[in-house]
Amino acid sequence: MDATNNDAPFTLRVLIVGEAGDGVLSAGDTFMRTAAASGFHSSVHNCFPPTIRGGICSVLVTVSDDDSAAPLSTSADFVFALSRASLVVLGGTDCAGGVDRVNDAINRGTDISAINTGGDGSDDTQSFKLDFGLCPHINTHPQLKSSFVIGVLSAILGIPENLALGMITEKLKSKNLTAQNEESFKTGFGSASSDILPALRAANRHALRLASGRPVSEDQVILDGNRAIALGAISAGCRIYASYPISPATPIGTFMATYLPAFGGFAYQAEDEISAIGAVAGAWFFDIPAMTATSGPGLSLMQEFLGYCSMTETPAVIVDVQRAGPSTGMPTKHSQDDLMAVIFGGHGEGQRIVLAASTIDECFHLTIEAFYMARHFRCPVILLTDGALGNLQMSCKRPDPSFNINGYHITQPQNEDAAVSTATPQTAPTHIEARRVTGLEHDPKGMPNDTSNNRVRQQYKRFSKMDKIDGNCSYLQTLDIGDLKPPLPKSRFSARLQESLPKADLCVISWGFDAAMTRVAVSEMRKRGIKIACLYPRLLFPFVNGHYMELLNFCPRIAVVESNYTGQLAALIRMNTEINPISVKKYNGEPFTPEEIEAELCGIINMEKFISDMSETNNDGAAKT
Amino acid sequence: MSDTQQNRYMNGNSPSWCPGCSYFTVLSALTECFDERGIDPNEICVISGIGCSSRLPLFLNTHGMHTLHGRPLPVAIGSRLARPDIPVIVATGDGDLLSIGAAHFVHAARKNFDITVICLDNRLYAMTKNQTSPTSPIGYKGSLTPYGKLSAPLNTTELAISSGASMVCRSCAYDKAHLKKMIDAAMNHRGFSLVDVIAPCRTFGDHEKEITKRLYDLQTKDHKFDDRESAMRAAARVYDSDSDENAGIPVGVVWKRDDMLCFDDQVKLVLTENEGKYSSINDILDEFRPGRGNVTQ
Repeated sequence: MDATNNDAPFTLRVLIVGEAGDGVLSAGDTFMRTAAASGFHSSVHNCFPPTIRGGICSVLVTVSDDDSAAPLSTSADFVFALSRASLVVLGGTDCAGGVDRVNDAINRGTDISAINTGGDGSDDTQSFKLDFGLCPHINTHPQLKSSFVIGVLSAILGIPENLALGMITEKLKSKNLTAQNEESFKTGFGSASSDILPALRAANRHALRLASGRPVSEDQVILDGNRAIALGAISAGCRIYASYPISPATPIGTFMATYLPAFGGFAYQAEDEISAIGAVAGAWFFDIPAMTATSGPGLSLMQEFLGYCSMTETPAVIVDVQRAGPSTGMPTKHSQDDLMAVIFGGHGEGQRIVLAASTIDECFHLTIEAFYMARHFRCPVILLTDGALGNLQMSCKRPDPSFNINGYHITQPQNEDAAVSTATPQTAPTHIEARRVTGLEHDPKGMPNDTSNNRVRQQYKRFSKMDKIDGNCSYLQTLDIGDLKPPLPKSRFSARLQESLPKADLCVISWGFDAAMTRVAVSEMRKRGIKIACLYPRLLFPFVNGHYMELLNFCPRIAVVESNYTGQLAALIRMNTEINPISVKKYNGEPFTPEEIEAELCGIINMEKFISDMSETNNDGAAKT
Repeated sequence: MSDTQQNRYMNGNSPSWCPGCSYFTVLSALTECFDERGIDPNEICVISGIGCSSRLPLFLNTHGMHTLHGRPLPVAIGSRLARPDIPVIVATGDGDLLSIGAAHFVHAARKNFDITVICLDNRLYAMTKNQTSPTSPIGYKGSLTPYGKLSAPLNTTELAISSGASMVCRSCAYDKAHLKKMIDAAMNHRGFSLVDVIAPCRTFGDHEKEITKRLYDLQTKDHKFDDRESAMRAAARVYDSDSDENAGIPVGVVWKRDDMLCFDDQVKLVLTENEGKYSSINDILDEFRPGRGNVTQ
């Protein structure tokens, strides 16, 4: 017990790896909920193949008393490998921390293991065999392994037996195998309680913190990115949701289908994504807020209707939960490779608004914002998230359903095309003056007109209305300069003074889920005295030039962290500013961990220092001769 | 033409069809039908895709959406879900509905949405200047098939019935009184209704002159439209005249059932069942508090 210091910040990570069908996702979900019910900030990051059976799944559960603890990390305190194959996969990665121990286990021919990596740099690692043979049901129902693992974890971490068991039975209440799961849990619990337990406990100084628990904060909820979007949409008045099943966006539809009817709305499963966005356009024609969510190939199918909505000035809200493309690509894997597609995809030039969320909180609030912007600017608004964020489940602060940053929804329509009144769906009919829209170029009354003058006027009108977006609104980007001094107002005295202010070692830009991981990396680097200025844009298009240029006040070296091969945001910055950023990219289907970002950014700073030291040395040499 | 221009459902925009086009008759039959039913132009929506036929809503002063090629039905479904109080007519053609939009047609019919589809079937692509359409006869020479169409025509009536449409009727633009009767009956029907209109193209089609003589009304032939076998038998005859110069062309109500599930009614049931389950978003959020066990999958 003396290993436990109740004042020290506490973060515990458990990595569970197994084959699809082993109940890995189930184990992660149950353990995360158990920890959350004990009052800790918890999250679970899932990684799984696009198949129902076969392939390796993993979950990383993070439990902490610090709400800023990153849900991703390169290391874990405990590693559970539920099969020989998953152990071998683990040995080939550096994602577990205790790699040596994993390799040991492989070399010893162990097939299934629980490994204590020692956590926090301790060398004291141990491993023991998970003896699934103790529970005969596991032979016929491999998914029971999840309850066994929860049993082992509960014993090691001192989690009250009935709390964890309660979570398991709650999860299974609508399914069978309840008795077998209970038995599997108890067997796992018992197997760990024997000789291995004291050693494992003593070795991990955090282990017993979970046992005591903390009061569950009133304002906490457990959400994932997809559910947060669905909740945000209902809060914003979305009443028609139309979609086609596609990973990883389907859970948004599942949620909408369940809850929307209680609010007088309906979630419609269309025959394809073209039909889904067509239905969204049809609903918005009568000013009924509607949304669709999709990913990869579905987004490609929607391009023609996106152009239609731009042309007819019909609002639309489209969520793109990005996955690794092109084509079918890696449907369940993380990527941020649709940025250019959502901004420029499709034929012709149409105005669109593109937002990107990086946290669960932003998923909720930016969805509400997307509805306001769609209705106000009468164009498609695309909200980008990604597979990692969509599936990331964590305890977070309860979002605010009445959120509205700009009051867009109460302003008047801007043009004749947009002149429709508001209505409530499926309730008392509201009279709307009949009007026509067409995807042909048209006059302000919606009548086809392809004369040159009209074309110029209409195209200008459709694009210039976007200038009214309040790009400075603080919710649409975060400029985080840490303890650096903000730039001084321009005056004839300020130039030299400005010169004397400390500069940043590096500026960093990141968007989407990577931005959340970058924040963690940056805060670690600042603790070590490195000076960094950061920009996290949430409004990615229309491009707000000034925010990016502002970074040049702090340092000319600007790095962009994003999960794609071509450096899409970096390219967009090059298109629109004189900045030539350094791209920090990852495109293997897994999101950046904060540790990886930190290493990349430090690498850039060190390389720049090395180059500038070299040139100083050369200059000194030149001066002396 | 003057009667259509003066009609209170016309917006004064003169139709962009060729002089003498059979579509003028369809337009005037439709607006006269609206007039006789006393419909307020603000309380009906006409949705179309792309093609000569799909220009139709642009001449009306009702709600109108001229959408994308092949996609009027998805938009119609969205507007039905959003405003179930506003009836929807889809004006489309054989290329729009049966080629590029065929998947939407099959599923809208299967789900039996309360939508009236008027298909102006000229059996070719006219706006792009004469190509074969799914309903063109075998051997038809279009600009992309100079050696003749190599495949049999799609039977719209059979497809609609087998997809699950609850009402399928056929008419001809050369018999306005019959056409009006069919449109009116289709608008009265609760569920998916198709009015397949034989509407030959004056500019590219050369096979319209004989049509009027060949039409025979199924309703005068003791046809049992609520019997699936009779309906499919009648549907099988629609292209007989392509190969047999003595064969007639069936028009009238081919198929109609009032006992099929209508999607719009089913939605209403779901909404009624769920009414009052949650009074606010906060009610839902309460379910997601730690320890409440709201689970994934």
